[in-house]
Amino acid sequence: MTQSPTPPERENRRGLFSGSVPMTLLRLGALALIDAFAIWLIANLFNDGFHPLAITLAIITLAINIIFLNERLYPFQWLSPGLALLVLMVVFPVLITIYYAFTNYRTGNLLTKPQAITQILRRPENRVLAEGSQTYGYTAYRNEAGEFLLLLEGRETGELLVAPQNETEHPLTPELAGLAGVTFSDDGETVEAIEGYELVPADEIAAAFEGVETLEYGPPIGTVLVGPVDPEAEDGEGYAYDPAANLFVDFTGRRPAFYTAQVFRSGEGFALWLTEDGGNDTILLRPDGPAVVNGIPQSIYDYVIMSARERTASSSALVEAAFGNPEDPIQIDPFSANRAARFQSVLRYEPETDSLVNQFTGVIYRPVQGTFRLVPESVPPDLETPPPEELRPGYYVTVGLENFTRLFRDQSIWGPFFTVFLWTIFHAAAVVFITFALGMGMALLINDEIVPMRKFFRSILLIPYAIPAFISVVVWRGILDPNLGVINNVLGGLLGIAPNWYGDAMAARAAILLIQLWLGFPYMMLIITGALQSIPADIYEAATVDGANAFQRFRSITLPLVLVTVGPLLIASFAFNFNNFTVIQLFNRGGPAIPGSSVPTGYTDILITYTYRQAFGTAGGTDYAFASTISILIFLIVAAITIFNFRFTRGWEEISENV
Amino acid sequence: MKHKLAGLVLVSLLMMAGLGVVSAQDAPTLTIWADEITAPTLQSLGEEFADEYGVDLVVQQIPFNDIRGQFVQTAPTGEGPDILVGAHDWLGELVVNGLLTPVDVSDIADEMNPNAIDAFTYSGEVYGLPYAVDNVAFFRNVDLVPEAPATWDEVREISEQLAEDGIYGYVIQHRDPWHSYSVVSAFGGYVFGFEEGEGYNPCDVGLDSQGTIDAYTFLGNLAADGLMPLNLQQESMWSLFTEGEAAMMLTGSWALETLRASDVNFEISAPPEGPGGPARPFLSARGFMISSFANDPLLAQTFLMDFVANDDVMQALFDAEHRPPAWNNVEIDDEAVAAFTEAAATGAPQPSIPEMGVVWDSWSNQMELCLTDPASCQAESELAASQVRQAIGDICPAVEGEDVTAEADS
Repeated sequence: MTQSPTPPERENRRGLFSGSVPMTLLRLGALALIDAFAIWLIANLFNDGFHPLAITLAIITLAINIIFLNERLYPFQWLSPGLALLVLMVVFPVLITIYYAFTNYRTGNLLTKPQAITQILRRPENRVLAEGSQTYGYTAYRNEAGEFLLLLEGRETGELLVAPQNETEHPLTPELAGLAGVTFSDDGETVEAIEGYELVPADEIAAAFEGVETLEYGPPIGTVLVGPVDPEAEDGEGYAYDPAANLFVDFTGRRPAFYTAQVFRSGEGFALWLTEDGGNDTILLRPDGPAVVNGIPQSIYDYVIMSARERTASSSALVEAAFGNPEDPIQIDPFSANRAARFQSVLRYEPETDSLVNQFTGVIYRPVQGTFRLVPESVPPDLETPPPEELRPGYYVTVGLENFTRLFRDQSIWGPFFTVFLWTIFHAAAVVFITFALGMGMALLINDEIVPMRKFFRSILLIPYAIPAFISVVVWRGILDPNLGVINNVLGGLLGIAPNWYGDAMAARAAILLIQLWLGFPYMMLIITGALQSIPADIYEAATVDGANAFQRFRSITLPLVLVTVGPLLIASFAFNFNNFTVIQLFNRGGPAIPGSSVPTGYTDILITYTYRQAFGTAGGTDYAFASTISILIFLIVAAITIFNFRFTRGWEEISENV
Repeated sequence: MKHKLAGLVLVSLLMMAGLGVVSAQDAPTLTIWADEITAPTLQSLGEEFADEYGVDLVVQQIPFNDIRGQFVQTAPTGEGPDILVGAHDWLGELVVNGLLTPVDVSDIADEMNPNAIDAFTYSGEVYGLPYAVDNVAFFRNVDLVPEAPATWDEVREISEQLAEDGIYGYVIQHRDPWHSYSVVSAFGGYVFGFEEGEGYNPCDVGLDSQGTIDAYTFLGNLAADGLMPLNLQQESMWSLFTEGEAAMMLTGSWALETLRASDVNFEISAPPEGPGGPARPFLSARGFMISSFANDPLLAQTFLMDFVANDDVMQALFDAEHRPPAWNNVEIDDEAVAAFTEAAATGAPQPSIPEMGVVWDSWSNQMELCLTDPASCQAESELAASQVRQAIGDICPAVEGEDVTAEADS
């Protein structure tokens, strides 16, 4: 600090660590808060995969810290917000655009390579059922060791299988199903008999449960309390049975469920066949077998049925688990709410050769510029159906200059290019000229003191400029509607003509210029008014003394001096209208169509609307990479024209020097 | 220097705090992106779902037209939803990008309009659970046209009679191939060949088929003879209809509100037949799709099958929007919507193959140029078809030099 060329007392008033201790702490605190927020943002962006943006923000944050903590960089403190925004809003998008122009980032290639490989391997067409197998509906069970078991129901044959994890599956026996010895009535709604049990008649139920306080059944039912139950009670727990009312209540759901029981008795205890009151659910409870709900056993061996919550909590483990024969396992299909099958993958990724191999035919796919393409030599000659040429989705990679070579080779870009290009130039130049002419006229008028209520008119005339263009254009579109629009009603009534503003090439172009004039003249009027007021009055007096008339004064004084001031703004206006997407797209989407053009093109299309359609299509595909390439091309064209214009306008400055 | 050190310590402490916020994790959720009309219905399922599955349902409301673009951008980063509500014609882009997983609707297929499921079928797999369809039907002003015309020839006759009173008969939207497909299909034309079970075949382009040319020549002649105005926007068409200046048009159920607000006396019927048989208006379906980046695809499937695919929710979705339902067992308390639902039975799913993207522009131009100058229709149709063939190009087996000659002739 002592080496600093500035005197110490001035130095002290500048830096972050100058001034009183509380002030320093306050300022440090503010910086720290900004840092904390920035880091939170950066970490989030990084987690979400927006790496370039996160890195840009990190660089900006770092730079701000250096600027604020280093006293020598003091002047930058005042520039830093502007610089930060410049980097974020201008430099970053420009760099990203340039980067995209060298990639294949487009529909079909939006993922990263690992994501693309995962998705290819997960595609439904990459999965086939093993020969002779079928799909199953399933119920999942789990034991205390955390192993799973599936009860499978064949979708074709209806067979029921028990498939423990990593153990060969076997058919569901009546014992396992809890239905051994149970005889149902013909309609399946009542149980007629259970082997080894006797039916307790309805009027003897209360007596039969005399002295019984609880019943024990298999999981997940467990203990059932026996005793009087209040049917209105909402807050009971577990299960309860009231023999006097013959009412069984399940309190485990959102609302209590009520069942009527058929009671069977044996030496081991009571078996209950429960049918839901006003519902279709049935439960079979017996002391010597699993509880059966709606025909599904609630436990098999030591495995207990999983609730919806449990299934959700372990769904990724379930999807990865292999059931049944370990050599040829059955797996749960994650793409269905209730399906399991012996799936076989068709493709396998081989990291050593970076290729995807069809395990049945040996056909090989290798990545070419972000897409896995067929290696033709790997196709066996006896293959019946030809394999697909490429696998989707692809991933994004840099592809060098390919987008640029496509830009110069693509017939669809260059076919109608010159028609569009000429209209683009003409449109931009004409808009600048007519808005300037009208703006100049209005400004001269408003500037003249003989006009009454000048301020009022000046405000009114600004309105078209104050209304957003996309609203004005839509309004104009309505006004110019060839069938119903106001303008054609008036023209038809007065002159008997009805120009087709949408469908006729010249009329549509005229309509565009009309709208642009409406949108653009207030701006010109505004800046020219400013320029007029900066012209010294004595020049006019001198000219009048010299005998110049009003036109000569305008021609030799006003026009050149105004042009000197607003020249750069005219160039900016030209560059803006060169890419004035809003007006063209909203008015008629570039239409009407040019007959016989090799690519869909319209008479009012300018480069940007035309290429927008090439890059983004009307629906479906979006080609970010190609769009970036095109915007670079358009930037180059606009830059070239602007540089030319700046050279050209130097002439005006010489005029101003001579005044 | 001491100040400086203290400052740096403070800064780094707050940085740590910032990182702490970042690492906080949320409870498991199932995120759904839905438009403002479906979102509240789904929201109401949240409590029951959380109760049963221990997972919070997060319904994020996003304007319908923004859902696709935002999904494409965010899904690969893991920030996207598990389930999204969308239109079936997004499938092409979403599936090609590897962003969707199939939805197993085999258990409930009998409960749905098979056309809606066909719409959500992409290369042999179903990628969505449809809940509503959009289709067009034929509207007529009953005071001007008491009986629904059975054929397009009758439409022309009626138009000629009405022209004597200075009233337009049939009117059509400008540059709108989607609506015009009712006419095109009735004349036997098509856009892409359709093969049962396979879907649309992008290599069979029908824009220059005789039926398509006949249909547009028919419409172009109506215009040339002064019986039909050109360059009508949708709103202009509706306003001609409501003011009694036009008697017949094709439009969708979204027009009902406007038409009912006016005093025009209208009826809805199936579009007239043509030489190619009954019209097959385009039908598009809306439904639920599952992201292939969903945290728990199994849970997403379960949610759709257990909580959405039932009478109550499908009814609630219908009541909120009044679009013709895809679910059969929905009570429709509106005659007009019922008529649309009936018309949906004969609809052809709008192709969702990504190649459609290159079709709309060429097709719109073809329609515009044919209607403006029917004599050029043959040439313009061949040109449009060749543009499409050229754009689709490399995925189709080469056809003997056909494209090249069409290009050279123009």
